[in-house]
Formats: sequence, C-alpha cells, structure tokens
Amino acid sequence: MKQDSIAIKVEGVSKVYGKGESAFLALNNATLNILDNEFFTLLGPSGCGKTTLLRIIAGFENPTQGSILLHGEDISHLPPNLRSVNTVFQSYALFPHMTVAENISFGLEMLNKPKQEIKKTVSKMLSLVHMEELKDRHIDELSGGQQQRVALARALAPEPKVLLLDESLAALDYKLRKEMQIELKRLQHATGITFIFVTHDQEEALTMSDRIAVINEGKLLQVGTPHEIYNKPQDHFVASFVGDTNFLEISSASKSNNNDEVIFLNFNHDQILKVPCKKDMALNKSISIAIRPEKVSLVKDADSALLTGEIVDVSFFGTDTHYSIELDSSSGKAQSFHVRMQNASNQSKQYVAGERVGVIFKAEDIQVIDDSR
Amino acid sequence: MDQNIQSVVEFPESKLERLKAKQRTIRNYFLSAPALIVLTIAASGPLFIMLFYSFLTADEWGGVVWQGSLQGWFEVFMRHDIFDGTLLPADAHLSIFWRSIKLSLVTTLLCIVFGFPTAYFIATRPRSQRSFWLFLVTVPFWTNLLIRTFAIMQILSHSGFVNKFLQSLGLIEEPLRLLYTETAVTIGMAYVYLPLMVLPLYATIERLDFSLLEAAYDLYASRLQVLRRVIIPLVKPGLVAGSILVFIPSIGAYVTPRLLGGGKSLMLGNLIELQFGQGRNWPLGAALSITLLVIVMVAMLFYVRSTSRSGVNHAH
Ligand SMILES: Nc1ncnc2c1ncn2[C@@H]1O[C@H](COP(=O)(O)OP(=O)(O)OP(=O)(O)O)[C@@H](O)[C@H]1O
Ligand SMILES: [Mg+2]
Repeated sequence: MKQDSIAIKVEGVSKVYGKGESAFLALNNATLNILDNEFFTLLGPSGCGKTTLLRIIAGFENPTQGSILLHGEDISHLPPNLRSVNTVFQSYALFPHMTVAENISFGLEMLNKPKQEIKKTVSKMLSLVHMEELKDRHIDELSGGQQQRVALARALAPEPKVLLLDESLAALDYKLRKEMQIELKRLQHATGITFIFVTHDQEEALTMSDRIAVINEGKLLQVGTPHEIYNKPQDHFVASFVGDTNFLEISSASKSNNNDEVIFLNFNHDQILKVPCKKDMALNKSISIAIRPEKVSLVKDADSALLTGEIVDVSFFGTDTHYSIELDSSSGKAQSFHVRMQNASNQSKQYVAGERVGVIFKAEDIQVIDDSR
Repeated sequence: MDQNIQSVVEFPESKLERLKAKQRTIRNYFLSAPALIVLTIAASGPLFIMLFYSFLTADEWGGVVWQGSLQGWFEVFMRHDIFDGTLLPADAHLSIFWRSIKLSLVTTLLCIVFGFPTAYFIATRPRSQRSFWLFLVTVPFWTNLLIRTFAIMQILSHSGFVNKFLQSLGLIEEPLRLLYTETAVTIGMAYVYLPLMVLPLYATIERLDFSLLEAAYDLYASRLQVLRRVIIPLVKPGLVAGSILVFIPSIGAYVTPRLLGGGKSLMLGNLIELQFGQGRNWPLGAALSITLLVIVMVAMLFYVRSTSRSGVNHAH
C-alpha cells in the first residue's frame, strides 16, 4: 500500500447544531489529512466535537460547511451505506437478534457478496479476533470485551477503506483496555486499513497512534506524531492536556531583532537561555513557556540554578520520584513547579520536603507557547 | 461418615424451611383469593354457562328447555334442506365464519400498514411532543363507538364526502356504492381498532436502540433493508401484541359490521346476536360463541408459538 497517499481529507469542515438562538458551533473549520494505512487519533476532552467529526466522516451528519474526500473523491453528500467507511460504535451497537457470526456477515450480505465468500470472510474474521468458539452465541451472552471484538470484526469484515472507532475502549476495565490497545494495533497492521480512533485519554493516544490531532472546543489545535505533540506542543491547551507540564510566565524576554527565530529568556542570577520560537512572535506582553517535569533536574547549589524554591512535597514512585516545589517569586505570587526525577541506583542524593533547591533545565527542552494564537 | 453428619446437621434446618415455605404458599393463596374469585367466577363462569347452554334444547319462544341435545352444535356446521330434508353443510354459517376471519385478518393488516408508520413517527418525535401525539391517537376513544360509526357511514354514504370528492375530481360519474359492503366494514374496523395497534407498537419502537439502525446503515444496508433486517425483527413483540389486540375484537365485532355492512356483510358477532334475538335459538348461539372462542384461542396459540420460537432462537 502506498504509504503517503491521503485516505481521508477533511476540508474546512464546520458543524453547527441547531438554529437561531440555540445554534451551537460544534466543529470550527477543521482541515486535516489522514494518510493511508495510518493509525490516526482524534484526541480531546469531552464535548470538544470528536464524535461530531467522526459522524460527519461516516455520513451520519452533514457538514454545515466544508467537505470530506475519500481517496480524492468528494463523499460529503453520500449516505453512510454508500461510503466505504465503517464505524465501531462506542456502545458497540451489535444486533441483539443475531448471533456473533450473523452480526459479522451482515455487511457482507448487504454488499451482495457470494455465499461462499461470506462464509470464508466470516471465519477469517472470527479467527482474527479469536472468537471462533463463540460464533453461534447471541450478543447478550458475551462479555464486554468479547462484544468489543465482535464489533471490530463486524466493521472490518467488508474491508472498508477507513475504520472509525469512537471511544471504543472507554467502557472496558483497565487491564482489558491495555490488552485491546495491543489487539487494535495488531489488527491495524494485519488489515492495512486506515484507523481513525477517537479518545479523550491522552496516554492511550500517545501509545497507539501514528499521528494525533488535538481538538478543543471544536477547534483543531495541533496535528502531529505523538513525539511532536508531546515534545513540541504549540498551544497552551495541547501542552496541558497531553502529559504533565509546568507553565512559567517570563516577564523579561527579548529578541535581538523582531524577525528573529530565537528568543532570549532571563532567569535568576542573570542567566539567559536562547530558545527557538516562531518568527512572527510578538513580545508585547509576558510570554509563557512549558517544561515537562521529567526534563528538569534539581541541584543543591541554588546559585547556579535557573530557578530556586522550596520542596513542599515528595512522592516516591519506584522508578522515579516526584517533587513539588514552590518557586521563589519576586511578585509574591506563589507558583508551584513539578519535577520528576529517575531513581538511578547510584544516586546518592535524595531531597526532602522543606529543603531549598535550585532548578535547572536545558534550553532545547523549553517550549515557547504563543498565547496570542 | 462425613455425609451422615452433614445430613443430621442439615435436616432440621431444611424441614423448617419447608414448613415456612408451606405457610408462605397458604398465605399467598389466601391473599390472592379476591383475584382468584374474580378470575374463576367472573371470567370463566359465564363461559361454562355458555358451554352448558350449547348442549340444551331450544325453547320455541327463546330460552332453553332443560333437556340435553346436540342440535345446537349440529346446526353450527350442518342444516337440513327445507324441501327434501337432505343433510347439507350450513353454508350460510360457514361463509360468515370465513368472512369474519378474512375481514379480521385484512383489518389487522391494515392496522399494521397504517399503525406502524404512525407509531414510528410518534416514537421518533422529541420526548416532549410524544404525549401530545399519543393523545391525538386516543382522541377517537373519547366519543361513543356508535357515533364514530355513524360518522363513517356519513363519509361513505351515497352523497357522502368520498363520493362528492371523487365526483368533483371527475373521476367518477355516478356515486360509488361504498356503504354496506365488506370494504366499508373493514375500513370501519381498521379505523376503530387502529389505536390498539399503535400503542403497543409505539411502546416497543420507543425502546428501540436507534444506534442499531445507524450500524446497519453504516454496514451498507439500504433503508428498506434496515427496516426488514433490523427494525421489524426487533419490534416483533409489539407487532404481535398489536395484532392480537386488533384481531380478537375484530373477529367478534358487532356494531361495526351491523351498521356498515348492512344485511349482507354479517359477521360472527351479528350471527350470535341473531340467535339470541330473532332466531330464538339459544343453544345455537351458545355453540357459535364457543366456536368463536376456539378460533380466537387457535389464533392466540399461533401467535404464542411464533413469539416463543423467536424466543428459543434468541436463547440459542
Ligand atoms: N445532535 C446534537 N444537537 C445539538 N448539539 C449537539 C448534538 N450532538 C452534539 N452536540 C454538541 O456538540 C458538542 C460536541 O459533541 P460531540 O459529541 O462531538 O463531543 P465529543 O467530543 O464526542 O464528546 P465525548 O468525549 O463526551 O463523547 C457537544 O457540546 C454537544 O453538546
Ligand atoms: Mg463522543
């Protein structure tokens, strides 16, 4: 399969629910390319419009504006039964009056596939999701995890070009969810079908996806690989929603030239860090930066540190230790700062609550957030 | 050894349990006595009286003579020729049986055809509007059956609305004969019993998980296939309940066939009434009533079988 051809193109899609007074903008001008054979995740908090976008791609909702292209063909106005896109519903929506095998063969029957082929595909799907033994059971005789597998097999059987999964793992318990995450990845590799996966669980998104789109309040904020999303968040919301982050407001920052792509940040003891930033970034107000807790180290010697403060809390987590620090501030406004340090075996130094420490980090680990965006 | 000890230990307890259970059942019977009395005396009592009367001899001026006879039952199915006394099937009765069954089935079908979309429409309205629509469905119940039937007579009559309308469109020259036909009876019964189909259907459609329809639609089913493969199998209980509720009163209907069918479209209810009235043949009337009951019971059995079979399927 061509790795880089575009499976789904979302072009300037907006969705308004309701009319007049009660009109609600659920999706705001989203543009996005989803590649062939990709495990693509839509990540965002509850109510941000993930399901809305998925339902527009599936054909259950019409976009108020914009269009959806499947392999270059505009499908915005095709009904769901004419789109080669299948959905795994959050509630599974399995047919209660049919057996497992009948559920899986439903789509194939509707496509008028020959009987022999249907039989073959169904048994292939059953073995793919390890449900051969239970093929004659009814849906209410299955556990949640088994129902999940049937829903997957049913949606995969007609070999759609794109599979949509709406919070498919949310209803499962932790252990089963972990298992199904691996299972989903395996199925995606085995079938080579593009998966568009919806979740509000950032950890799930990071571990499973080839690429992630972060959505908040109907706006597409950032699209990128898990690495890019985690390490180079371009937005205050993305930085805070994905992983833990320390935000710092820096009041003394400067640019040597307004068009420059580096910014100079002043820290304690006149230390200056040179950090890359957007070219057109304005410095008319204080800027904020984001630093991941695990990119920070503590030192005893406060004089050489970028920031200083007092440890207020220490929690031990086996492989690492989390410190909560209250930074010294000139304005008197308390600001807490989180540090996560690996517990190396040779590490002799341990810090205790109440101790004064210095905080250091590297310029390349700082992410400048442009709040004016 | 072990087992012995166990049984010794368990014995008194289980005996006590059994005693308590017995007390419970006695008390339960006692408490449900009013219901049992109503059921036995009020429901099956008249039935047994009917059964008993069907085996008595008719009195010439109505009522019965206390003398056993099979004449009533004989007359349900057979008759003697007026002239030569040869034995013939009671074709008048049999054609009325047949007509009753046929018109009731067509009525049930009509109620499904019109009731299903109606129930579906109501069940898919916003929750706040549903009770309004349900209220509209039940409005006809607010007027007397006779008045409603007279209204239908007006609509179907020679110079009624339907004929006037068709004439004004130029579709017909002469008024059609609509009233006093089997069609009129069927229309009338379908109109009267429609709510009995809509209400149980509404109840099942309302509980339908509409994401299943989306799932089917997503899996390449056309709208018709969604209806046939998903909606109908899932609302079957409501469909069956509605059909029973319409079929049973239809087959025993009295007022509607009497008024809309004229003398030519009699149904079982009219035939029975005739025997107790002008016919002055109470045993025949009683035997016909029991026959009607048997037809209804056969129909019920058929329905129960059809639902329980799908139930068995469901369990396995
Ligand atoms: N049919 C509808 N009519 C009106 N508003 C709607 C409708 N469907 C969704 N919304 C609104 O649009 C917004 C986005 O809904 P959507 O279901 O896409 O959220 P989501 O991101 O999937 O959330 P969740 O994670 O809770 O499932 C919500 O605020 C919701 O209230
Ligand atoms: Mg959702």
